Amino acid sequence: MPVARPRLSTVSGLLGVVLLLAGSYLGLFVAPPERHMGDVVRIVYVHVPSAWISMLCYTFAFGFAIASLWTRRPRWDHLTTAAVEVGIVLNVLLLVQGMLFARPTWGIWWTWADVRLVFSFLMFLLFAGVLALRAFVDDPARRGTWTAIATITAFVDVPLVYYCVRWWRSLHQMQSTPETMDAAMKLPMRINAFAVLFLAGWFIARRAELERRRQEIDEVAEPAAIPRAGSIAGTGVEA
Amino acid sequence: MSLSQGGAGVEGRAHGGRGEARGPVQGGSRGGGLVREIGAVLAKDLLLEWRGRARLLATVLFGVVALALFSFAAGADPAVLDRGAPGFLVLALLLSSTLALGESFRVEQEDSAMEGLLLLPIDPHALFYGKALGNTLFLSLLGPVLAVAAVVFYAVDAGAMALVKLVLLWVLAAAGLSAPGTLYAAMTSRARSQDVLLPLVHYPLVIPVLLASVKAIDLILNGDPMGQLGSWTALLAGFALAYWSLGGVLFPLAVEE
Amino acid sequence: MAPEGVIIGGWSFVVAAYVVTAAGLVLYAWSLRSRLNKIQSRIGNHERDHG
Repeated sequence: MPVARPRLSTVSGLLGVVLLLAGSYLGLFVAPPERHMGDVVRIVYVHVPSAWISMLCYTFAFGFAIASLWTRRPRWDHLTTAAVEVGIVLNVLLLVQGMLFARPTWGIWWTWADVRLVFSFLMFLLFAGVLALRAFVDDPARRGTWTAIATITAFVDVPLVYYCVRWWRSLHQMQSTPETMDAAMKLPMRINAFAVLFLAGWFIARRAELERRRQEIDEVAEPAAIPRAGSIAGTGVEA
Repeated sequence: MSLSQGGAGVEGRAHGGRGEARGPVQGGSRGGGLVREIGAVLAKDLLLEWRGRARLLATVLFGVVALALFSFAAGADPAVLDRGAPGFLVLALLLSSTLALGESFRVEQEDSAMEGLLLLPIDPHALFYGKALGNTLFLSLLGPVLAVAAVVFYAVDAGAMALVKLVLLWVLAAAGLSAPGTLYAAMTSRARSQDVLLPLVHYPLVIPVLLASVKAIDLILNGDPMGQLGSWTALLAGFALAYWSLGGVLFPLAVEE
Repeated sequence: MAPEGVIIGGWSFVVAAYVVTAAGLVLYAWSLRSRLNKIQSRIGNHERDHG
């Protein structure tokens, strides 16, 4: 498995790059301008895929976190961290694209009146907290458990935050994506969605590998730095 | 008075809890045992809280200071203050909760009391629910004080009925803040830079509590023509329910060694 | 004869969005690569010193 996985992930990454180029070409030059939004609608072809795959990464992270708590194998912890981090990267891109979409359509960079904009910002804060918590814990076993707990706790908040923001802004709802889409618009969006998905898969695999190596070298370099009986038991399981 | 009674009961209850847990049929008698253990943890925390009254008063005072600061930040215009009052109240609660939650586990970090607690054959679930109840109770106590302060500072025009509703809603908000807060404080209190870390992870998580309680308090104070108070209260209750259950599941994993 | 309410232009924002997206993805890939290389060289150093 450790031999096969990088190759699979590289294929996934290359596929992602090719699809993203193809989808973006269709979105920028082939798809027609939208009835009300004109050419600005082309942002949607990268914006919506980023949103989908970002949420998907968080969902994967939730699944990995449960597996991590269940099995206590460090591999799941590495995958959890990787999925959260890639989710955050896409989330940041999503926010910037959202602002670039808001400016020409509503004349402002940011509005608290748009549910999706506010919601995606809160997602970013929630999951950035997971990585922040992780950064402040040294013991690998404890770091894994706490990362998983924080990921699960944050993910459970997602629907609550969504409904909350929606009710909060229910009177000021703005249309932020075109209601009707013809086939020429759906195609670039779908291609880009798969492109970002494959790229995310590649990123997650590489990021998990990084985390695995990091932990390996920490264990080799500082075996005396393990302070507690619990963590020795933890690393024993990992080995 | 009831506090000292609770304090007197600590030892007896703790012993009772110990006997329960040691028994071979822990699963069978768990219901009653768990409640008793929660009571013991809660009583211990209340006793500590009572013995360290200065800390309790300091946190309440902190909430009042925060309310005063908000009025300076917002300006002296009574209309602005009145409009902002719900938000200021909830923010004061949120900021005080950071102090209260951090303190509730800092106590356990001193003299490695947490390790001692975990060595006791007490169900860790009881530890969570006892702590979370203690924090909820403590934050709920802030409600009446801050409500009175808001009436004075912000010239909030509210009848007795509205104030009663306000205090009840406050309890629900306190419960919503306490459950995830207790879970996270248990972790951050043992991490580096705990003072930065707790609000950083806690605040984004409780944004639904913040939004829902600000809206609900606004509806209570300024009238509810469309009957929306019910749905916001339900949202608060749903949040509290979700995190009281989730916290119970995850807390034992968070504190294990 | 653009109908009323259509946003005219906006190409600069579209280009900006695609550039930002591409740059973000490339930067992240680059950061992963450099972090992995760093770890790799640390492992190399360790093996040279102790292995």
